[in-house]
Amino acid sequence: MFTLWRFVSLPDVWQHRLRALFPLVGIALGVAVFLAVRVTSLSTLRAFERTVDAIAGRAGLEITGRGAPLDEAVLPLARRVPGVAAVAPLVLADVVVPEAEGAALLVAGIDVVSDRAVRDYTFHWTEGDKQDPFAILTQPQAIVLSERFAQRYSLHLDAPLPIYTSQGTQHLVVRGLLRPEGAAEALGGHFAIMDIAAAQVLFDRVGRLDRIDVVPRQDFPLDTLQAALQQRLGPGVQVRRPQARNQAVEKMLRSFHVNLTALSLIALIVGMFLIYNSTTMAVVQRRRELGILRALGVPRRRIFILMLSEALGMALLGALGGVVLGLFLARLALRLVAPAVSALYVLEHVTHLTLTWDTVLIGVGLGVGTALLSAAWPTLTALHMSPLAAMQQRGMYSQRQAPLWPITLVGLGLLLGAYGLSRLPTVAGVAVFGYLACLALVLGISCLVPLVFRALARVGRQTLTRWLGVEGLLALDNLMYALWRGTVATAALLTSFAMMISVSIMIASFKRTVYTWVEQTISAHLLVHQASPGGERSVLTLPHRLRQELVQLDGVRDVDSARGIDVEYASDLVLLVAVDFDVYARYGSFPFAAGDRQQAMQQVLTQQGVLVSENFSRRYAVGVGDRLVLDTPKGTQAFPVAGVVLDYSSDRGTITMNRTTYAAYWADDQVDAFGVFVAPDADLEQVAQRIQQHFRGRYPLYVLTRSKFKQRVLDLVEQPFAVTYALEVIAILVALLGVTNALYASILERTRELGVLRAVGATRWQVQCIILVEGGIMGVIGGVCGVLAGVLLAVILIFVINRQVFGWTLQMTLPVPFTIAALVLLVGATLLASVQPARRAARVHLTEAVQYE
Amino acid sequence: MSLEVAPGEFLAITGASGSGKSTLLHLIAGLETPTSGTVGIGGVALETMDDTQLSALRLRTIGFVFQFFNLLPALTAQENVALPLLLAGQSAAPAAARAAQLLAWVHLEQRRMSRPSELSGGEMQRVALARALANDPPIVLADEPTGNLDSHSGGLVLDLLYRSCKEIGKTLILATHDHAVVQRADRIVELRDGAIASIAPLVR
Repeated sequence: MFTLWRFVSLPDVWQHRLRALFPLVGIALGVAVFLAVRVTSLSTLRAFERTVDAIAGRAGLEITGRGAPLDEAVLPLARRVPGVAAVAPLVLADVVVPEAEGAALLVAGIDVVSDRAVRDYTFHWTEGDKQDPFAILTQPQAIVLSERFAQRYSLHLDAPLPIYTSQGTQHLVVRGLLRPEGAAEALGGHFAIMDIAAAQVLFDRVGRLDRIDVVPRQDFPLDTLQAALQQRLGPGVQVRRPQARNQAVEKMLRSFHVNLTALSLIALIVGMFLIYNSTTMAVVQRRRELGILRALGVPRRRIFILMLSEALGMALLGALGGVVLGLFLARLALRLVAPAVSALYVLEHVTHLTLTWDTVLIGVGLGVGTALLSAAWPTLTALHMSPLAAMQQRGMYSQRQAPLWPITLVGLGLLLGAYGLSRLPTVAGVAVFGYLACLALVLGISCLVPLVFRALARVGRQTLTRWLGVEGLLALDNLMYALWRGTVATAALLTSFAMMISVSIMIASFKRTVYTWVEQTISAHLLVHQASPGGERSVLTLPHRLRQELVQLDGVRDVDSARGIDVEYASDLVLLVAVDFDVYARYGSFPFAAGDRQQAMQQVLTQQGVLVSENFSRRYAVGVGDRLVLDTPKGTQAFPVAGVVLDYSSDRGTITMNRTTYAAYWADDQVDAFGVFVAPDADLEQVAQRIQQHFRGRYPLYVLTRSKFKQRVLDLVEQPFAVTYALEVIAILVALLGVTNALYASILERTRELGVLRAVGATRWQVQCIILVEGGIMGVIGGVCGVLAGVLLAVILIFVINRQVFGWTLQMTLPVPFTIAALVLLVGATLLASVQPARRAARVHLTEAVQYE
Repeated sequence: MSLEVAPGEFLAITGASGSGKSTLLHLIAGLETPTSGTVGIGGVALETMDDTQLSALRLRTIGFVFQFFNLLPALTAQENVALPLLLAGQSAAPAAARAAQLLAWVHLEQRRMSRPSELSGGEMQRVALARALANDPPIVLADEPTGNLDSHSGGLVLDLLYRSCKEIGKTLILATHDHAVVQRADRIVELRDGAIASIAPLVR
C-alpha cells in the first residue's frame, strides 16, 4: 500500500491540488460550524456552572425558600443539625450599575464571620492597607467589587457607586476590590460583596435570607445530611446540592442547544455532497490510471483501500483544519448566542470558551465519517471498472444515460420515510425522529433532482435555446450528459437553501403568531419597568405598591401589573406569572385554547384558579378541571386549572394566576412591570413623561408604548435565531463551493469538447457563457427545489418538532418577499461561483484539447 | 517552409509520423502560432488577428475535419452539423434546415437524429465533414480523416471530400499517410522533420 500511496496517490493529489482542495474546505467548514456551536453551548453551560461553583465555594448543600426568601430563624436551626460543620447566610440581589454602561451585577450580602468558612476572597491590597479586609465591609455603604469588573468599567476605589435596585436607586461607595479568584470569578466578574445586614436593609430583606450555605463535616455522608436538614427545617424550604441548579439550567437550555446543534449539522450534510462529487470526479479522471494499475495486477480490494484512504487523509486534514477554524468561529458565535441565552433563559456573562477533548473527537469523527460515507459509493464504482475499457481512448461517445427510476424510487421512499418518522414521538424530550424526518426529506428531494433535470431537458430545451441561444442548448445538454455531477451539486445547493427558507418560514411564523398574541393580550397603552439596556433579561423589579401612585397620575385610567418567577414543576422550571386579573379582565383577553372564557376568568378571580399555557398543557398533560400542585413558601397547594391559553412567554410553559392568589402564597410584593391604561382624552407621550418625572431620582424607569414593546418582543423572538442565519450562510457557501467544484470537474472532463467548440469557431465568450448558463441552471433548479423543500421542512419544524419540543401552535407564514429575494440572490451567487470555472474553460489550449495521434 | 495554395486546389500533405503534417494544418487554421514567418489567408496575415478574429476565421473561413471526429456527444448528428451555424448567430430553424441538407449530401439523412454513440466511425466522420461545410467555408482542412476508418468507409469519406473540392469549389488541404488519398490530389507536399522535402504535381 505504501508504494501505491507514494507513487499513485501523492502525485495525483499534488497534480490536482484544486480538486483536492474543495472537499477539504467543505469538511473543514462543516466541522468548524459543528464545533463552534457545540463549544458555544458548552461555554454557556460551563459559565453558569463556574458561577455556581465559585459562589458555592466549600458548601456541600444550600438551603433556599420555595419561591420566596427564608426566614432568618432557619439559620440557628440549620446550624444545630448533626453533620453540619458551618453555615453561612447570604442575601443575593441583582442590581444595575449605571456607571458601568448599565451592566448587571450580582451583589452578595455576606456575614463577615461565617462566610470565610465557605468562600475564599482575595482582596486587592493597596499601599498602606493594614486592616482586616472584611472590616472594609463594615464601613457605611461599602461595597467590594471584583477587580475585573472595576477595570472593565473604569471604577475606582473610594468612588461613589449609584446602583439601581428593585427598591429604587441606592448609593454605595467602592471600598475594596477582589482579585479574580474564588467567588469573584462568578458571572465573569459581575459579582460584588457587602455586609449582610446592610444588604438586608438595602434590598428589603430585613429578617430574611436568600440562601444558607452549609459546609458538611468531612466524615458525614452528604445524602444523610441533606435528608436530616430537610426533615428538621420542614417542607417550606428546599435543601439541595449546588450542582442541582446546573442540572436545572442544563435542562432548560437543552432544547435550545439541541436545535442549534441540529442546524449546525447542515453544513456537514452539504459537505457530504461536495465530497461525493469530488470523489466521483477523481474516479472518472483517474479511470485510465486505475485501469493501468488493474492491468498491472493490483486487485480491486487494494484499489478500494487506496481511494478510501485518500478520502480519509483528506478528511482528517479537513477535520483538523475545521477544529482550528471552529474555535475562531466559536468566538463569533458566542457573541450571537450568549445574548439570546441571557435574554431568554439565564443571565450569564460568558468570557471563556470551553473546549473538551470529546468535542474535538466528535467533530473530527463526524468530519471523517461524513467523508468516508460520501466517498464510499463512488469508490465502489471504481472497483467494477474493466482495465481494458479504462485504458482505451476515453469513451467520449460510450457513456450511456443511466435509468432514473432507481434513484427516483429511492427519493420517493425517503419522502415516505420522512412522513413516517415525523409521526414518531420524542426520545427523552429530544425530537430525534423529527430531525431524521428533516434529513430524509432533503435527501428524498435531492434524489428527485435528476428527474427535474430530465423533465427540464424534455420540456424546456426549445425554450432555453430560444432565450439563450446555442449556449443555452449546449449548457443543458452538458448537464444532461453528466447528470450525476450537475445533480449532486444542485442537491447540495438545494439542501442549504431549503434550510434557509425553512428557518425563515419558522421565524416569520413565530413572529406573526407572537405578534397576534401580543396584540390580543397586551392591551395596556404603556409598559413601565426597570430593565437593563442592551436587551439583557430584566433583573430589576418594582414594588407593587407603586401601582397606587401610578393610578393617581393625571391621564392614567387604570394600572395592572405582571410578575414572573421560575417555579419547579415535575422537576422542571416553569414560568409562573401573576397578573392583576381584575384590571386585566376589563381591558384585555387571553386567547383560549380550551375552557370557557367567562367561567375561567371567574374561577381565577374568586377560586384561586390558574390558566396554563398550551405548551404547558401539552408537555405535562394538564387540562381544564385538573388540579395543579405547586410547592409554595406556604406549603404545597393545589390550584384548579380554569383554562388553557395560548401563551408564548416561555418555551418551558407558563402558569398564570391572579395577583392576590400569588401574594397569598408567595408573599412577594414585587412586580416585573406595570401596564398603564391611559384615559381616552389623554396624550400618550405626556402621560409617559409624567410617569418618568414622578419617579425621577427614585426609580430609573423605562416607559414603552405598546408598539415599541411589541417591537422589542419581536426582536426577542428573532434573537435566538441570530446564529442560525450565520450557520445557513456558511452552509450555502459550502454548497456554492460544490457548484464551482462541479463546474471545474465538468471542464476537466470536457476538455476535448471545449477544444472542439473553439476549433469550430466558438469565441472565448461563447464558451464562458455555456459554463455560466450551466451554473445558472443549477442555481435556478437548486433554488426552486430548495423553496419547495424548505416549505416542507418548515411544516416539519413547525408542526412536528416545535410542537413536540415546545408544545406551541404556530400560524405558518411564508415570507414571500424574502423568499423571492433570497432566490434571486442565490442564482446570482451561483453565477458568481461559475465565473472562475467559465474563465478556465475559455482558456482551454486548443491543440492539446483536441487529441491527435 | 514556403507554400502557396491556390483557391479550389486539392493539396495533399504527406510525411512520416512527427514530420509536422498536423502542425502545418494547425498553423493554417490559426490553432497555433508560428515562431517565425507568416501564415496568410486571402492576403491577411494570421498573426495580426486577435482571438475573436481567429475564432471568426475558424467559424466562417475554415472547416476542420479531425482524425478522431470530435463530435459533441450530447448532440444529435443534425445538431452537431448545425453547431457552427448557431455559433455564427443563425437561428435554430434555418440552421436545422441547412444541417439536414448537408447530412443528405453526405448520405446520412436517415441518421440525423442519432447521437454519435449510435453511429459508426464512417458515419461520424461524414457528420464531421458536414459540420466542416456548415458555414460554407472556402477552405477545408482534413487531418488524417480516414486514419481511423476501414477502407470502405474511408473511401466514402474521401469521395465526399474530393467532391467538396471539385464540385463545390473548396480549397482542400489534407494530411494523410494513405496512398489512395494522395493519388487524387492536385499537388503533393512531402514533409520531413518539419520542412518541405518535395512538392510535386500529381502525375496521373
